[in-house]
Amino acid sequence: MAILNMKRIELLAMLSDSKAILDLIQQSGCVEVLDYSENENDFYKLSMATSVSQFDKFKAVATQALEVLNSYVPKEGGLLDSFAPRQEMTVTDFYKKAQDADAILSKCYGINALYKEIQDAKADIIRSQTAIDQVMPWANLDIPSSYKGTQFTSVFVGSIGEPITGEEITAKLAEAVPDIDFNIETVLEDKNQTCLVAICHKDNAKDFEQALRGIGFVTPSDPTKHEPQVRIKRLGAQIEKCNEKIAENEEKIKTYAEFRGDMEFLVDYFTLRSDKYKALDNISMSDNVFVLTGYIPEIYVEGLTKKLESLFDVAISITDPDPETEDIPILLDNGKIGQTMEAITEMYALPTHHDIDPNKAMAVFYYLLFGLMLGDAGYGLIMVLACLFVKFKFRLEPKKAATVNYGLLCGLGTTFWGIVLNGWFGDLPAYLANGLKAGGANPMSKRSFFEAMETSDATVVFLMFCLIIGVIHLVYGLCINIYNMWKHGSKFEAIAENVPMILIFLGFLPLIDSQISGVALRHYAVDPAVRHKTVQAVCRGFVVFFDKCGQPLIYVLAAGAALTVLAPALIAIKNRQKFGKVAGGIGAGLYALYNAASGALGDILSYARLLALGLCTGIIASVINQLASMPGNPILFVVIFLFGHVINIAINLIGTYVHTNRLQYVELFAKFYEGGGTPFTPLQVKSNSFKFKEEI
Amino acid sequence: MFQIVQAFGGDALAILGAALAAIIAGMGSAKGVGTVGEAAAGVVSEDPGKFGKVLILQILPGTQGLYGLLAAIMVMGKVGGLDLASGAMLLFASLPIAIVGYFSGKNQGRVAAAGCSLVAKKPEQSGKGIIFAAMVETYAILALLISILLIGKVG
Repeated sequence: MAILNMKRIELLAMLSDSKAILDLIQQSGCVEVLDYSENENDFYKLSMATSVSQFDKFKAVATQALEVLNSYVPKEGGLLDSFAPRQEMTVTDFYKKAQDADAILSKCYGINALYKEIQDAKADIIRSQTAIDQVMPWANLDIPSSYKGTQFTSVFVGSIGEPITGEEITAKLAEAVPDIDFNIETVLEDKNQTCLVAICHKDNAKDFEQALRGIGFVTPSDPTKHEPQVRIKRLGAQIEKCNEKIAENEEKIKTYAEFRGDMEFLVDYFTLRSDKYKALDNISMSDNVFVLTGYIPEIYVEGLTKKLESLFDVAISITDPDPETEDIPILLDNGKIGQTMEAITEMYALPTHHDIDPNKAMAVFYYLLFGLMLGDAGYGLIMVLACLFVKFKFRLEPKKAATVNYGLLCGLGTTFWGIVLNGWFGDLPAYLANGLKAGGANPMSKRSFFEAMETSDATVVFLMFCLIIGVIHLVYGLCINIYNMWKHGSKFEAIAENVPMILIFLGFLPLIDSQISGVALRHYAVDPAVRHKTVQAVCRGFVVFFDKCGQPLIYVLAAGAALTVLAPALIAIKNRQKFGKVAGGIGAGLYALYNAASGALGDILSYARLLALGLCTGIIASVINQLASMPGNPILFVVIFLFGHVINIAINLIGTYVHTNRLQYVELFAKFYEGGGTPFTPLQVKSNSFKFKEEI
Repeated sequence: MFQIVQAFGGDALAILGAALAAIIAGMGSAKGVGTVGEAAAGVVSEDPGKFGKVLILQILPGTQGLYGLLAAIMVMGKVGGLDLASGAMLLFASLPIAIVGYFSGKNQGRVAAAGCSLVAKKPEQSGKGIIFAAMVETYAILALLISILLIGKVG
């Protein structure tokens, strides 16, 4: 059973044990706690919102501190370390360590405070720098820019917002106020402004100032009390001080590096507590007892009940949930191979209890299609070796093991088709045979099943193979649907809805031959230039098959079409519905036929992507080899070869991954799979840094 | 003059076809990848952890350029002493992937960019964003297919 059977658990226990029981349930991680909302019989709820938000706040503090620490002292280790298993910890150790939580938390607060000071200092630096920029034009002024004058003179310090020389200013002023004696000294002349000091007799100050303003003179917005240099120095010192502060705090933060592990633990610890209190929010209590309800997978029922009963005074009742009224959560349990597909299925949608779990069923074709699209034994072997390396280097946890196994199986599929299609880093063997120079004959070409470039017929023949694989894949999907519907009791519908489609798909086979591959296939089957005789033999087999079965299969197609039209009416008759419904069924059938025909054509042609992506990898790989051989130098060959193939692998891996998924989701799942299940989200220990040693 | 055209015109037309396949399909990819790149940078500016997810989306519209290159390489394999008719045929055979590649790449870019905002809001749904984008590619694949088959018919 791939979708685990769910039971409903109802637990009644002493209120004083509530936290201990929830701890145990959390550590076992197999119960999804439901909101118990029957507030009768004096049961009430206690809101835990305050505690939850408190824990969430602490968690945020610890997370921020950890981020700060990681930004100043990067965590060592590369990509590979992400596969390393989490540290194991016993429950006792956990509680012991949890006692230090406050101490670690205060360290986190310390880091955050230091970080805040750094941020403040950085803001100060920016502020000081802006102030310096403002006063910089006055750097050469040897009096304060707020200077107003002596006993008999008035001094004006300011600027004019355009490039203008001292002489021009003097000339303009002399024209404006010919009676006044004055003196102008420019401090700075640049393309944005001219800074100047003007002096005149105090008695003339008013008229003179007006004349100055008339030519665009303005006083500085923030005049200095001392000479501008003093302010520049003061601000410079401030920046210096801030920089020191930043460096000092960074050093201090770095000293916390040894507590990184503790801080990671702390984040997990608060996640744990917060989750637990969220669950506590869901239970109902009276003065002395509490009630907890939830879902539990059947396989865990016995273990958990025994454990709870041995430790506490509890009353547990296990019942079957009602699939019609309840949204029962889904937990999957597949074997090692099926498990590798779970991530792909989850990306689409989890199955519901009416669906079949598609993981095991889709796995076989998934890896074959993946391999066909990448189709290079060299690339496949690299994937296999990389995954095996990770597998043997680390003791992988189940989820990561599934990912690595997924890569491994994709690699195996790729290697398989690579050998069949004779792709070894494109056509590397040809270059190896010729001392890394162009022009060698591929020594493996005799073993080749298909060489796309050999003849144009071969491309068409390969396309035919791809479409036939598509037909098989699609019929397979329909067969799964028959199985699933049969199992759920609608035996007649299972046959009536799916068999016509299967017949139509099979009936399309001769159409592929007559419309696409016909001439090329027959030519290829007898062409003496074809080097690989086994392929030719297989192709001759296809020719015989199409010649013999082509005509009968057209009848199959016709039968499929006729059944498609009749199916809705037949189902209506079987259900003893009124004549009107039966007649309406014929109309629905005609519409279904239109859909089936256009849909089937689209579905089958979609598998042409197997050819397109396969060719894409192979031909670009060959071009890389050709480029690499051009300089005629073995070292350059290796450099260009590595660079080119790394890029080719990366691009085509993504393309292959996407299009294999597409074939699963759009072509295969459409045949039998609905999805839309709710994932099982048990109260559990969600932690990144450790896991409990005990299996509960 | 006529002799020159007859002697070299075929190759020239074929090379024009190869060039068009690489140029126009490549332009579509460049535009598409660019569009997604802008959206992806926006997502990463908020959450650098989503880099991997949006990178996949960004690469998706790049394949049309590859298909154009593929068709160009296949035409290239035929160049050398082609007569005028064959050259013209290769030119026409290159057109499906050239033109469809452009529009498929451009529009896939838009879908993938929308996928980036999907990733920003609901990272767990990134697979669906990828599939939406992959739908657009189907037509480039069909066009490439017909280009390859047509190129195969010549010579």
